[in-house]
Amino acid sequence: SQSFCAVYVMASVSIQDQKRLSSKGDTAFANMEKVNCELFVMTYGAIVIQLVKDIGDVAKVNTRLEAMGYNIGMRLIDEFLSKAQIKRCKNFQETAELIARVGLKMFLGVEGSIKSKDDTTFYMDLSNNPLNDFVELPPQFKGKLNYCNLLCGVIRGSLEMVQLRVQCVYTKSVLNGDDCDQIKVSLEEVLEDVFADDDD
Amino acid sequence: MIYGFYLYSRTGLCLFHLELVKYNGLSDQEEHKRFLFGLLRTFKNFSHFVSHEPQDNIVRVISTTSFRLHVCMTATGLRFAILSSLETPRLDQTLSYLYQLYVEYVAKNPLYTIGTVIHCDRYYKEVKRHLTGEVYNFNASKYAK
Repeated sequence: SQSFCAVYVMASVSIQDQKRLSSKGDTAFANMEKVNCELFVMTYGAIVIQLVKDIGDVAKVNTRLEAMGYNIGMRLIDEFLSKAQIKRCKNFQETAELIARVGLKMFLGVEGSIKSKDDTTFYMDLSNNPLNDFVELPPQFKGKLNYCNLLCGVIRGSLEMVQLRVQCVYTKSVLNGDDCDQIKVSLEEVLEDVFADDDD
Repeated sequence: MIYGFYLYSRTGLCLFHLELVKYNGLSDQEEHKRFLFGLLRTFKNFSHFVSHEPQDNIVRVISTTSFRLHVCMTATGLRFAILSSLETPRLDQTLSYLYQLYVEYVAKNPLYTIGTVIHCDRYYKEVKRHLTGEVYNFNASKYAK
């Protein structure tokens, strides 16, 4: 069952497009191998706990989670493009909708909704992030530890493989008391191809 | 029938190649692969230059009098290229399946570093099985009558 946080009318992506992408996400999700949700969520929690124990400093844990996500994203993008039969996006808004409605749905089983600021920034709201299940942050980590920072890394890694350099940060989190999880993605640069021997 | 399959990264490095029909060694193997990448890249640039809507013009098949080159480029810059004989029909499905094989046996392989030459045994076996299976079917239809 899908739950929509809210549906925002966007200048360049229509409601029909959103519905089409949602159904695309559902089909892709149906074709994926699935793993037990509790197992996945608990394993992730164990990873975070172990990182905190090993590294200690919260800021470094955040960076490490993001770096891990980045490596995952670099490989994930090919699976995403291949399984969901994605064609080129015309603008960054389309990319945003694709990530939220197809990508997140395919890999996490939940859809995000997009609130866009302008052509180079968007906010993605996740109302029921499964990674937050069973999690309670102790007071010394509330507001400091970005528990799902891996997701930020995944988005950054995936987009970098399609020549979009972005910055991805967690702006709101359910674990800190907010109403939903929110990730802010801002486009920094569209990368150009660099070839091995260009001066033949 | 299929002569060979080549997989190029975004930077032009040939990550994987499978030759089903050996050439007479006219030129160096490495040069041959570089030429092919050069052709693909040049054609892509040319198609942008020539078309009315540059974003949507994608090269799919390049034909000459003796061979056909089927291309599929992913958004991540991977180029899947198959050299085949002239009577081979469109190989879009095959290329898309080869991409799926890449995802399964290369992208998901923790021992493989993205962007380097592929030495994954399983991938080689699966690709060979899929492509040589296809070749058999084409030949069979020629003799079916």
